Amino acid sequence: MPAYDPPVRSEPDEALVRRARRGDDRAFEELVLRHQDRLYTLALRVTGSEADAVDCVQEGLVAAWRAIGRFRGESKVSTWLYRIVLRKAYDAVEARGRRHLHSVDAAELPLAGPSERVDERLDLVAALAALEPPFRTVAVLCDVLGLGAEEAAAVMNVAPGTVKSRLFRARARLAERLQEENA
Amino acid sequence: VNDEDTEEIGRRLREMGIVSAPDHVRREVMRRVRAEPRRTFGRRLGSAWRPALTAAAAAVVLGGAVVGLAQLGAGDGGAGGDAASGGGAVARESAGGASEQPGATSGGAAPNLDAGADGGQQLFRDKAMTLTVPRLAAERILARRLVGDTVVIRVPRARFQALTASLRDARRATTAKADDVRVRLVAR
Repeated sequence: MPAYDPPVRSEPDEALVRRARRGDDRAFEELVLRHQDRLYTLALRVTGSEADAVDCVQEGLVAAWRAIGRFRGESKVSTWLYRIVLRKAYDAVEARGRRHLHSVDAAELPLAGPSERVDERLDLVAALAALEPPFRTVAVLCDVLGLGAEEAAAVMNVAPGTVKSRLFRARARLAERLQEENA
Repeated sequence: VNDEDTEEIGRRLREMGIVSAPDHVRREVMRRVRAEPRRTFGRRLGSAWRPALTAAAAAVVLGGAVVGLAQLGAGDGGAGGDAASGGGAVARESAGGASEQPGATSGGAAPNLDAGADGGQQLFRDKAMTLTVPRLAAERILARRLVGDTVVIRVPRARFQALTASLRDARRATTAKADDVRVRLVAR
């Protein structure tokens, strides 16, 4: 017997969107519950700021509600939401400049573990935040969130081949930076 | 940097994992969503039905307009006998001592559609007719006492032509003008 029952997805995202288009805000709330953590992770890693990430997710989801009538279902619902929140995150980064990108908050710290792991993690977060936004984004989408090249390409509106090359370069730059710091 | 290094970075990025959104994010989003004007975006009816419904709605509107025009043409200013005194078309006597204005309105509140252009007169000729007839003859034909200079009588459509013909005959049969009455017959 498992200790708890995992949440059951009784309705696919597309069905919830159809209900939300008819004005059913409970269906939209279910969508928010399903996706808010991944959207928040994307915004947090791209902006490097908890406060900006919260703003991006909130603004993005409200914008999604307003635009839900124009969602044609040509992409996955999650892809559409990622795209909206990513645009908000880019706007936040552009508005704020890069001077605060290295801020680290409590969410970065593992709940438990040796201090070396904490240091490694903070180094990685800082190195990630120092990447240019396109490389940072592809690393977050593909490695942190686990999206495939096709879906990441749809989110970023680039070709899948571009995603693969950017991902390789992003990892290489991160490795170089971490090696420099360790040296 | 070699492939092993990049693979290691990929592994460490995956270990970063998903960060839970603060609790207030959902609450704030839904508060703002529910504060938005409620609207529905979907089409409740399938697109296949829309042309048929549009055509049906257009037919209803067109039919309503035709019926409405017909009613206006057949309308009178009320059942009162002096409705024409409100400014409607006044029947003019001809040389024969009587006059006839097909479709001339009795005036009052009724629109003057049937007294307008020729097309309008033709259109409503079989529904309304104004005749100037000796009062006694008109009272005999219509089997009622007629009070005032002008009276409006609504008659069954089936009897409209016969009554019109009788009134016309009565008008021709006399040259007296002393006590004429204008009778407007309106088919029901």
